[in-house]
Amino acid sequence: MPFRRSLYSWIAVAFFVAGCATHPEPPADTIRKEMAALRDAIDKAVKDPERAEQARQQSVAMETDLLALEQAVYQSSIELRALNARPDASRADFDAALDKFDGTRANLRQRIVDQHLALVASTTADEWKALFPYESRAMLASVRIPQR
Amino acid sequence: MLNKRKQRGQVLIVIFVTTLLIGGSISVMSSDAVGGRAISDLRKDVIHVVQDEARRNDIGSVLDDMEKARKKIGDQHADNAKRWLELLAGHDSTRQQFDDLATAVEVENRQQRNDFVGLRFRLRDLMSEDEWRKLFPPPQAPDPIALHP
Repeated sequence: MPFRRSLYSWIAVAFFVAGCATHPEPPADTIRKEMAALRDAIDKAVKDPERAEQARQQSVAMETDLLALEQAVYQSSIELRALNARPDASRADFDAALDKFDGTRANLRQRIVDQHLALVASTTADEWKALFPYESRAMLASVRIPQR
Repeated sequence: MLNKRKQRGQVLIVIFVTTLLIGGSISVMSSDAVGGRAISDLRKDVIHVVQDEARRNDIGSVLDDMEKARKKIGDQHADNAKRWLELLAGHDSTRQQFDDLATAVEVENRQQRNDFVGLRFRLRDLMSEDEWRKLFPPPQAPDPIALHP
């Protein structure tokens, strides 16, 4: 599927370039906005009420965990910045801080993947095409490092 | 002005490390570009802070290595982002595919993390405590943009 691969390459590049730009909006706001937009899109795209409700519930759970991930990224960047400023910081100090963040991140990622799969399972392939852009934008916002 | 640049240099090191940690392809974002700019700022600040020319040259070499590492990491993150987006977009993507990608990314992340922290300590070894403090002041109040309600 060369066309599909090429399309996703361009999407990835677009997200990468967009990510390189200055973001005046706090990442948490982007997550909330995109997840709200996702729920609006679910209401329009998913005609079956039961499946639509399942999709909405998953999007609410996902929003909570994306916000937690964003908070973990932010907190970690602050802690690491403070650690780096210490001339006496040891390798073990860095390893401990990084292990802590890696563990949090891996747990949240697992939950978010679970929610994603459940969300997708409540849609048809055509419905998902309309919903995917909102979810991916919220996910990218959740891992945006604060700029300063 | 110089102080602002120094703070960006500080952000560089840590943001860089943080970016690696995210590891997953969803982590492709601005910090890589910020890191690149900050390395150049740091390079300028070293001229003012480190008087010894031989050490300045050695520091320059470490910063060169950091830039190379940044490029490699950026390339890997872009590739992972593409793969992650493909999985997210696919209605038929399976848990196993997500798990496989996560496992591969974690292996990369571990290596990148070790390499980059190693570069941080190489840099540290080339400076006195006083020089380090001048180049990397502790973080100040959080940026309102990044504040959370």
